[in-house]
Amino acid sequence: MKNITEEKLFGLEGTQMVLRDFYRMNGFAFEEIDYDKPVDMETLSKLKPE
Amino acid sequence: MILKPSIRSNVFTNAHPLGSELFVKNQIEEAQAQPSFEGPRNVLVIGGSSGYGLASRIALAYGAFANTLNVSYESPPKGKRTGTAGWWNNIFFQKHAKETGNVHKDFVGDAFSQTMKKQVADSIRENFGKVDLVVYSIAAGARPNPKTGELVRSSIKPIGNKAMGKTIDIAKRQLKDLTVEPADDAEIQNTVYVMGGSDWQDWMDTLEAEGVLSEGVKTISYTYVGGESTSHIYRSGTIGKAKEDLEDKAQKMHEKLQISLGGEALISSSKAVVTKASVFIPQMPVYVSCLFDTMMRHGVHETALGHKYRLFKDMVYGNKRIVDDVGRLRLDHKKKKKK
Repeated sequence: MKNITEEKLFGLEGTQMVLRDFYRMNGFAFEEIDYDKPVDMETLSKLKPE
Repeated sequence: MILKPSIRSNVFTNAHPLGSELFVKNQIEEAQAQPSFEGPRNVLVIGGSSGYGLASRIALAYGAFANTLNVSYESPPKGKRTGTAGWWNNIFFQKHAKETGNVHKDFVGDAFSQTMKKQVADSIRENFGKVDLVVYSIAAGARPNPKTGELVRSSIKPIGNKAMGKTIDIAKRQLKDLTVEPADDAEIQNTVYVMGGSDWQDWMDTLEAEGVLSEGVKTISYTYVGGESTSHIYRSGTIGKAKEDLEDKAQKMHEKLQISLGGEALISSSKAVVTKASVFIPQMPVYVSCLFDTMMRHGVHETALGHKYRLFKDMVYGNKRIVDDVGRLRLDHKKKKKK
């Protein structure tokens, strides 16, 4: 594991899952979302936790 | 506003609210697909806006139909800033959890402060009467010391010798070298102050004094034991010292709670997970990647939600506890199994 090459590591499904988890924790990398579409922050900003 | 990932020095500086909604909703659906279990009625989660804390909240709200109250430190959107992911997780948890018909409340602020503890105790009294489970799952970079007014910072450093290894550059999707110099004594003490068990103990002392803990109350926090490849930087490093303190405080609280309320204080050891901090631990992202890969190939990969669901259903409220020689619930046994 210590000497795994970059190519081999990024070829692993596990690594792709780790990367995806990083992005998803922040709301990115979801296939269902069109990230080119603007987000209505004005309306969303009105939501407050109860 | 068009939102693309913004990553600076391996940290996300923005969050996509609609993606955060999906992040929460997917975990809710995962919990709904599981059989329900007899669990707690009223739960306080300290640090329930992301990671294992959020997974615990969802598992309990949907698996055991518990009422939940969550305390977290998050920022709302302001100007060009999108708000933190945890802020949106709280908002969308609330939105969806209305369907449970139960009470779910959020307190956003400094969980370390005595004022917050008192406010939460009042809210428990008003909404639930008492709580029968307290989950303590805070990952904080800093904690104010009320006696000195100083902001104490935690650090992830080895003790003794420097740690060298690789980490993943999230934006470039490349490997890069990472060296972390060893901590000095003050850094070790500060990390224990921020990430150890003293604030957990303060919470439990305050809630007990306020009379808002049920007879038979349980409290739980999470630790990480890990293996040889991460030991130098993690378990033998500053964070390891903090976790030792957390485990030590759990033992003390356990003895006290058993006498006063017939309750218990538990520590559970989780498997390695992707957290914001993991990219700052040399070799950890490589280890987690290989671990995920192996667990997937053996069909034993568990999501954060699945992991916490099993913890509460089988171990905390079930009869399948796996306890190690120092009394920790071992949820990470699956990764230890050899196939």
